[in-house]
Amino acid sequence: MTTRILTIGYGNPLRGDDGFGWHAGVQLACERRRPGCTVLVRHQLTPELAADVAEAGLVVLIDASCGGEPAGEIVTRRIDASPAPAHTWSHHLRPSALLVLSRTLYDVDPPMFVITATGATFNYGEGLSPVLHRALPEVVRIIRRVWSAAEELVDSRPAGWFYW
Amino acid sequence: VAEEITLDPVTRIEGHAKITIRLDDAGRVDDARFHVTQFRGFERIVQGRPVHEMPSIMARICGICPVSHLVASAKACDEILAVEPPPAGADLRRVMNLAQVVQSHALSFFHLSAPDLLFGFDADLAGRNLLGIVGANPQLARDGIALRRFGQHVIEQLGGKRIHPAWVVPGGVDAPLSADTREAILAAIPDALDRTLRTLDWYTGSVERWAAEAAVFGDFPSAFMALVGPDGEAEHYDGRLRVIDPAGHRLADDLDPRPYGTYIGEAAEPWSYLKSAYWHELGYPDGVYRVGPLARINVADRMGTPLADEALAAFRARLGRVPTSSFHYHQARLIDVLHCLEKLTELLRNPDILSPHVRAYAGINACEGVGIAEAPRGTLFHHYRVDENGLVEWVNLLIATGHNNLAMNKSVLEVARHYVRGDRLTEPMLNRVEAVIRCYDPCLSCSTHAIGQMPMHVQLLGSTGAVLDELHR
Repeated sequence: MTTRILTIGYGNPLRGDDGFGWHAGVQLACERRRPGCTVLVRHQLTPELAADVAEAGLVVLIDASCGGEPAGEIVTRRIDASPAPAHTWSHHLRPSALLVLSRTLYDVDPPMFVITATGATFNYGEGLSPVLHRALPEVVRIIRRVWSAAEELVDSRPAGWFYW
Repeated sequence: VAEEITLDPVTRIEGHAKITIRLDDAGRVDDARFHVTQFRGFERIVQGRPVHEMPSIMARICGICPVSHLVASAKACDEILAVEPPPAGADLRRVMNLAQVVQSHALSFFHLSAPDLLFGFDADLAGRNLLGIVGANPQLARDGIALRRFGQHVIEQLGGKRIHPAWVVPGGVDAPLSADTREAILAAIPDALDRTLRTLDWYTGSVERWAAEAAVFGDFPSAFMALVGPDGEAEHYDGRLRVIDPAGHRLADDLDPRPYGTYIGEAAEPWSYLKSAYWHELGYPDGVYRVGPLARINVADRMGTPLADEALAAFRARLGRVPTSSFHYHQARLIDVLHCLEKLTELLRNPDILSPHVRAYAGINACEGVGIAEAPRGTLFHHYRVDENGLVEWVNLLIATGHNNLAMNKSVLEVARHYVRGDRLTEPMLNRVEAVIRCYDPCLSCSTHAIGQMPMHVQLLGSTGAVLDELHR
C-alpha cells in the first residue's frame, strides 16, 4: 500500500490572497518532516500532478477561496473524483479533475481533501491581506495535525524524485 | 460585397489572439490575418536595470520556456562581461535547455495538438481535449504526462524550481551538478526515450489520416532558419546560424548572430502587437522563413544522435529532404524530443559535467551583447546595450513566434482559402484555422510579452469591413 502524504499548496503569490496556498506550501516545505510527507508548491494544479497523486496514500490541497464564506474562514472538504466539466483545459485543473486523472490513468484515487481560506482581495500585489495573514498559521497547524494523525500510514522509505 | 471573418479568441495556444478573414466582392477569401492582441513590453520594463539581473527578469517573459530566455539572456550578458563560461557551465546550460525543450514539446504535442490528431479536426469540441485523450488512449496521456514531468523534474533538480529558475547566470550557472542528481536524471532517460518512441510510432501510424490537412496546413515554399553544430548536426545552445531555401540550398551559413539586423528585418503592423521578422534579402513581406522543430530538422544535415537520426531518415524517406508543410511540425517535435533525450545522456555521461568550475566572473567589459539559443519554438535572440555602469539602456528581443509570424499568417490564409465557403463560419474551417496555428506552437506571452492562455475569436468581414459572422471559443 502506498502511504505517502502529499501536500500541495497552490495559488498565485502575485495576486494577493490567491497566493494563500502557495505561501502555506512554502512554509510547510521549509519544515522538517517525516519521510513520506511530501510538500509541493505550485501556481496551479496541472495534469502532471496526477502522477504524484497516484503515488500518495493521502492528498491534502491548500488553496484560497473567493466567495461564499466570510474572509478568513477556513473550510475543509473532501474531493470526489467527479468528471470535470468539458473544457479545453491544458494548463490547469480543478482538484476533482486531478483525482479523475489519477484514477483513470493509474487506477488510483487516494483520499483527497482541500483546505481553503476565503480571501479578501485578489488584486495584483504580493503578500496576503491581514485576515489571511492571520489564517495562515492555523492552516499550517491543521496540516501538521494531519501529518501527525496519519503518521502510522507514513512509509519511512524515502521516495525517489523520479517516481512514475 | 466583400466580407470578413474573425476568429477571436484562438484556443489551445499560449496567449491571446484573433483571426480575421476578409472576403472579396465575389465572396472568396481575399486575405486572412492572425492578430496578436496582447502586449507586455519587456524591452521597456528592463531599461535601467543592472545587466546581471537580466536573465532572471527575462525568464519571467514565459512560464513555458523560461529557460530559453535565461540562456539567451545569459549569453548576451556573457558578451557584455566578455567572459566565456567554463565548459561544465556551458554544458549544464545545455542540459537545462534540452530538458525544457522536452517538457515544452510534450505540452504542445500531447496537451494541445494530440486531441486533434487522435479524434480528428471535426470531432466534438467537448471531448477534443486532454481529458478526452485520457479516456480514449490512456497510454498516450500517460506518456505526455511523464515526458512533461521528466523535463520539469530535470529543471527543478538543477535550478531549484521548475518555472523561472535563477540558476543560469551571466558567466555560467550558479551551482555545479551533484553526482546523485546526474545519476537520477540518467536513470530516468530510458523510460522517457521509450515513451517518445512509442508516441512516434503512434503518430507515424496514424498520420496518413490527415493527408488532406497536411496538404493545406501551411504548405508553401519558404526559407528555414536554425542553429547547427560544427558538423551540420542539430544544435540547441550554440553553433552556427544556417538558413536554407525550400530546395535545401543554403541561403546563408555560419552566420554571426551579432549583426542579425543586417540579414533579418523586423516589420510592425498596426493590427498586431507581434513583430514580423523577414529575411532581409527577400524583403517584406516576401522574406518568409520558419524556425522551430521543423526548421531545425530541415536545416540540419543530421540530428547527430542515433535514434533521432533513424527517425529523421524515416521522416525524409516519407516526405522528402525539406518538407514544407507546417503540419509536419508535429513529427519534427517528436524527433526533436528524441534528440534532446539522447543529447542529455551524452552530456551527463561526460565526467567533466561534475566539475565545480561552472561560472566565470567579470565586470562590465563591453557595452553591447547578443545572445542566441534554440528555444522549443525556434531561434531566440536577446540583444542588450548597457552604459559603462552596466545599466541596461536598450533591449531588442527577436522571438521564435516573431520569426514565424509571416508564415503563420500565410498558413491561416491558405487554410481559409481552402475551407471557407460563403459568408458564414463553419466548424470545419474554424477547427482547421486554429489547428494550423497550433502547428507552430506559438507563444504569444514570449513574443509580445503577455500572460495567459489563448482563447479564440474569428471574424468574417466583408470588403467594406462589415462583420458578417463571428465566433468565440
